[in-house]
Amino acid sequence: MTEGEVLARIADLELVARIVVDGLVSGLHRSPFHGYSAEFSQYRRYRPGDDLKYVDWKLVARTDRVYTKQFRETTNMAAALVVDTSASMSFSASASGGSAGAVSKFRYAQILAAALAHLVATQGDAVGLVARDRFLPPRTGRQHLRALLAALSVMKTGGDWQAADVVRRAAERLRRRGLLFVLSDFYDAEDRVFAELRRAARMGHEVVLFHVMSREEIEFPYARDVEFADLETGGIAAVNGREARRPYLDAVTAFLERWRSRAGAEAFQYSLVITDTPPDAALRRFLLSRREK
Amino acid sequence: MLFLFPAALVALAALAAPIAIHILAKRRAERIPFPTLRFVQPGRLASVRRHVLEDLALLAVRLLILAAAVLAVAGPLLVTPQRRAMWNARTQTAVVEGGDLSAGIKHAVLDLLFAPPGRREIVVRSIFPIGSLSPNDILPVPGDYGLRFERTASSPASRTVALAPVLTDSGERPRTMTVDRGTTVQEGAAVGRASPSDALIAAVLSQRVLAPVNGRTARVVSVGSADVERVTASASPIRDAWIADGVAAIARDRDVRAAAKTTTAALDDARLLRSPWIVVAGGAAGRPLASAASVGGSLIVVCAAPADALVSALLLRAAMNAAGDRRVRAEAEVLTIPDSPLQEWTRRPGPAPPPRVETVEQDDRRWFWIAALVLLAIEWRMRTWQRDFSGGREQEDARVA
Repeated sequence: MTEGEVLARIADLELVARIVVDGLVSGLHRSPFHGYSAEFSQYRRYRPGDDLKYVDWKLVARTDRVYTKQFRETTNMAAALVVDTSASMSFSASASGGSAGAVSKFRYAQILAAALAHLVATQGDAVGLVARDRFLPPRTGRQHLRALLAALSVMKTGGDWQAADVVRRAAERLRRRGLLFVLSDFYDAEDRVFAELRRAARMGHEVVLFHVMSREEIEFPYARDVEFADLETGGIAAVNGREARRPYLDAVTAFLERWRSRAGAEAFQYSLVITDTPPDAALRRFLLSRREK
Repeated sequence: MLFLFPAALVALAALAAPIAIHILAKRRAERIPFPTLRFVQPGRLASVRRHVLEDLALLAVRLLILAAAVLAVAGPLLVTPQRRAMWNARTQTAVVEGGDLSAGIKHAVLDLLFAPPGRREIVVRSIFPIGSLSPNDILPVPGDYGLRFERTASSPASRTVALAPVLTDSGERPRTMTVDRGTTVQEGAAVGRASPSDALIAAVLSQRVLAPVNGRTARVVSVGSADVERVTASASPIRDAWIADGVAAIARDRDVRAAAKTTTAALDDARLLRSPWIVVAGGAAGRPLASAASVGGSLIVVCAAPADALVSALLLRAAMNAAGDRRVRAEAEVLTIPDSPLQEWTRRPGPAPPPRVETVEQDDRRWFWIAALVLLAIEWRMRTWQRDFSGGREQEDARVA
């Protein structure tokens, strides 16, 4: 069982998010997101490992006890999480004969979104959630994070997720210059979604795309005669896996390359995440690439 | 087409296996949910149909391989006109000569059953003495077997046969039988022998009794005689065939039975009424009159009637005849079966019957094995061709695997 599968088994999304982020933040020294501004909130007893920069030396002189200053981080950034709920996201390798307990693309996107929400919220920034039938405006605070994670965890896939509308709504509801996370397989209404993303970028938002794909979609490991049932349209295609593979791989590579180049052209943050890699590794890769900017 | 081992055809049931595999394998084109079909080229759908057709051809070839193998095991024999002509060109003949013709014909039928393929004919060579053949002897011969009767010689007008000698009151007389169209038995002059003194024996011998074979003795003991106690005590179960035959002959003797009916005497010694003694004659009112047993290798009859009674004499005659030589002299027959029934029974051999497994010199199983091998090669070719055609990307397949 891979780490990703272990995480997928944990029902509590908040716990999952914390596990993912805790493993992550310990290695990152600086907040990965912009807009860091803090005002003092309280003292906390010094614990080994705390940055000595925040030790209140005057207090030490007065009381002989070592305290560090804690700051409440004031919000100056808002992030919106857009999660694809289309039926194609419900694909998991176990449904097509892969290893049992494999993570579905949607579950993976949920975990990733939860981790991002946690990351943003613990920084004191506002985070919101936008999906087809759900809208949580960006807010700060633990309560809001709980509500967001709860809403995220009860989301279900199915039907058309009205990708372009959802992206537009998310972009419009981010009042200031914000951060727009989109977690999707980007199968639906490609051009319209891209147009909306570009519009969001023009509005001053930073657009971050997580292209969630499964290993099966990318490598097409079918050699026998297979009947594929489209998860979205229900259509059936009976093909010989061996014969269909080459054209499929060509098409899928072109599709991925198209999104990568579009994202590059518009200066979107683009990450292709594959569901059989641990989500924290995917997140770490994304955050590191962000720091390099 | 004939099959030498038709039982092997049961294996044709194995043809169901590839069909079942074919059907099951078709079903195994499992349905897999997939996120989107937009990259699965619809142009490739037609290839599936082509596959089905190819698979059907492959299935047919595989079925043919199996069928050829099964038929080969079953020992096929193609009855070609040439082969049939070859079989019909030769005749397998069994000759019955002398001895018991009826048993000989039965043997010949069996022999011909296992003869190599060909027409069947039984030739009977004999002088055909009368009674040596009957329509019942012809019945077991199958209808397509030919029958031919060859008379080896005409029978002599007469022949003289030695018969068992006969005892008379003046001694033993040799006998000869001259057999011709009317049979007569001639007795020679009596050979000197001590004249029996007993009046009873004299009376019996006057009835012409067969002379006993060497080593055989028979006695009749009257109840009043002093010997009764001894023979009763030493009687043993019958072990000699001639004594058993004799006891049966005595019990069957019509003269003895008629005379016994009028005799009032009866055996009252209980020992004489149970094993090893066998009651051979019953007196008036059905009471036992005489019992027989084997005593020291001799046939002994104990009779309740007095020694001078008629029934005692008749019992003695029957016992003596039992010890005599009763062989039948069939070969002495000079009358023969006339030609007309023999001609009636004669028939030409029919076409060669279907050959039996053991008798076929050469069957066609190798052709079927060759066919199976050729089909196997075709099947292999079809499979590789199919694989080449459907991509020829083994390297890539290996990488995926």
